Amino acid sequence: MNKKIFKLFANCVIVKGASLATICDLHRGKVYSIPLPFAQFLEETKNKDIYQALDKFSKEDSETILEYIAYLEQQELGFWTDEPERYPDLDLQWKSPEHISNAIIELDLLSNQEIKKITNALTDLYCKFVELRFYKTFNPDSLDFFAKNCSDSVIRSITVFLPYTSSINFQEIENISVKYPRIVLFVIHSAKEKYVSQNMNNPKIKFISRKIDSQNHCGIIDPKLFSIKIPVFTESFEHNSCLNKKMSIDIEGNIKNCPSMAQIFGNIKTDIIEDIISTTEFQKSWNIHKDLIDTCKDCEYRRICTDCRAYVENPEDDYSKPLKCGYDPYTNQWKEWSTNPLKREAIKFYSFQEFLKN
Amino acid sequence: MILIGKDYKESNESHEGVIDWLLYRNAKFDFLSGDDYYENGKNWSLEINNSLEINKLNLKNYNSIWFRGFLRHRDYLKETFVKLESTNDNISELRWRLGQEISKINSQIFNTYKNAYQLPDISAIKVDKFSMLRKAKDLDLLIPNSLITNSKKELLIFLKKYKYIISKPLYELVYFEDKENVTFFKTKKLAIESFKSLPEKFFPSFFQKYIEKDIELRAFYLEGNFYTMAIFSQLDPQTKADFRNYNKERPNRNVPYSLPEEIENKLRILMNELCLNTGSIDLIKTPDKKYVFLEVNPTGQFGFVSKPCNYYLEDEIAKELIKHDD
Repeated sequence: MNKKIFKLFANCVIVKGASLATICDLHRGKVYSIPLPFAQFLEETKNKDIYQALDKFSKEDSETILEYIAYLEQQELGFWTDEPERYPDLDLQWKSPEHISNAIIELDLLSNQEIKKITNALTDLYCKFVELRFYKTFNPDSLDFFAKNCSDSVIRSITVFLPYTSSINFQEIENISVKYPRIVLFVIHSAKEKYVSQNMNNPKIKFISRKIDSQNHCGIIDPKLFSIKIPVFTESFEHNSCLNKKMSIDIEGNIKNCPSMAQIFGNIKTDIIEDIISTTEFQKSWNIHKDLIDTCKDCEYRRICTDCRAYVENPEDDYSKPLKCGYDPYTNQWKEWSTNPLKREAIKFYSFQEFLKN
Repeated sequence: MILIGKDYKESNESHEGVIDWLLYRNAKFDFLSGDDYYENGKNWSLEINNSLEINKLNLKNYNSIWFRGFLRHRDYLKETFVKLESTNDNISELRWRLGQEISKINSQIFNTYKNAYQLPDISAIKVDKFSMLRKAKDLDLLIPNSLITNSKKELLIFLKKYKYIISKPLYELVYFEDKENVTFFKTKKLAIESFKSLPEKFFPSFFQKYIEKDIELRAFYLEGNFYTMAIFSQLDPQTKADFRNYNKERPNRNVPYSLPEEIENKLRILMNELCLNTGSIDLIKTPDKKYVFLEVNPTGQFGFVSKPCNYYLEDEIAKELIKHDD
């Protein structure tokens, strides 16, 4: 073989942590752990003859390296070439054509007049994704009014969470689902087990047994929730992967970064949403990126992780690690976060104890 | 103001992406589709007499036009054709005649914008593949050896010379659908067995030598700049002849690619000669590192190049349209 340079595909990107590295395959959405020295080796030789580079290593080490490379080749994470200059790195620029990209609205108690303020703002701000939450009671008229007033927006999808109650009217939900194609999913929470396994004729309606009656259920950091995509990866360099361009309106009309965060920046009854979200105070958390956050900055998953600023280990510190993360990038161990004695104080602070028992 | 020419019936994610950026950058724009002239019943007229021309197209002044399509002939008068009772010959003659009329009317509608910036030039988009190849060859770009013939004898000589050949339409890719099936005409590698049942004379068709690939290249061209992507279609037998035989489980690797300057220069001249300021250029890079030009699609898709290479082509297009709207 005359090709002596091994290059990772441009959308398979190395991220180095404190004691391990990852290759984030942003094209196929997978993440691979690799030893730190091997990551170093790949970076140093990305435009160089591998065999020359291997001369420095013992026979045993160079065999190991070649085995690793064979594995990467077999997984189609990289390729052999003799023209590395033709394959530039991925441009890591990030931008997005919206002032608010996603919004979480707790609709339970809002009046139509308030809903109208919200839909007007979402339209003006070019919001793309909306999550609507009903915790205790579902009001189909509010939902219908909301969806109707989004007709001039660029909203791509609306997901609706609503509680299972004895008075639930499936025909009504069905009708709304047909009338508004933008509503892509109804999640009926607090459902009895027998419904959870049941399939509705409408694939847009799903049941979950979990009770979603407050905001505490959010903020979990788990590999299952990793988002291994170019926009998330590139956004994470300068922005918070969860909160950037996010907005939420809580059950009382308070304007917040996310429903789980305590800080209130205004209220839709008295303030103009567009004004509030453009303030530096509101946008402060948008720019708390992983490289600033304690522990996360040394984590090899920092470019694909969701982050959470609502629940952190030290609630006094803006740059503290997410509370609900059980990963230790120094030992590379995943542990259950809620039983970790070091997190006990913070759990008490957020009064999660009741929630965890459920 | 910007005008976006598109077929309302066609939804297209890359279009939406450009529109998102136009909105975000506070551009003013309208849409125009053949529907506005042929289907929705609004009155319009174009009058020309010995002293002047009177245009009642109900259109504003547009400085910048993004042309992505206008009308699909087969959709027009669909209802009428369902009810029409006549011989097949008459019906197909009528369809064809109507198509011709529509294209003449369209060019008069588009004539209104002859002074506006057009991306791409509406009159330049209908160029056929053989003319492109002829121009490319004159510029010393490599092309696949190509043949149009109606003769089995000629075809077999061509085939013997090149062993494997492919066949494709000279104009656009077509597909046919009925209630149950959709049939696409995709590029297929053909060997001698495929031609046994062919009659001595057949409908004149377009054939090309099958080019061995190292990688396939898609170069999105916009006002002199190239945004090129390499497609590693050769790692997967399913995508070897045509990467559009997508493998969903394990999609082909698509990565940014930087074309040699010499190839870019020739392609730039080619695009100028074709009067195209944008287009999607298809190339093959052979195992011995030669670049073979296949074709240009003036209104080709770009989203599938933009996303995996993180090029933000949607924004580049929006910025170009805005630049010419001042």
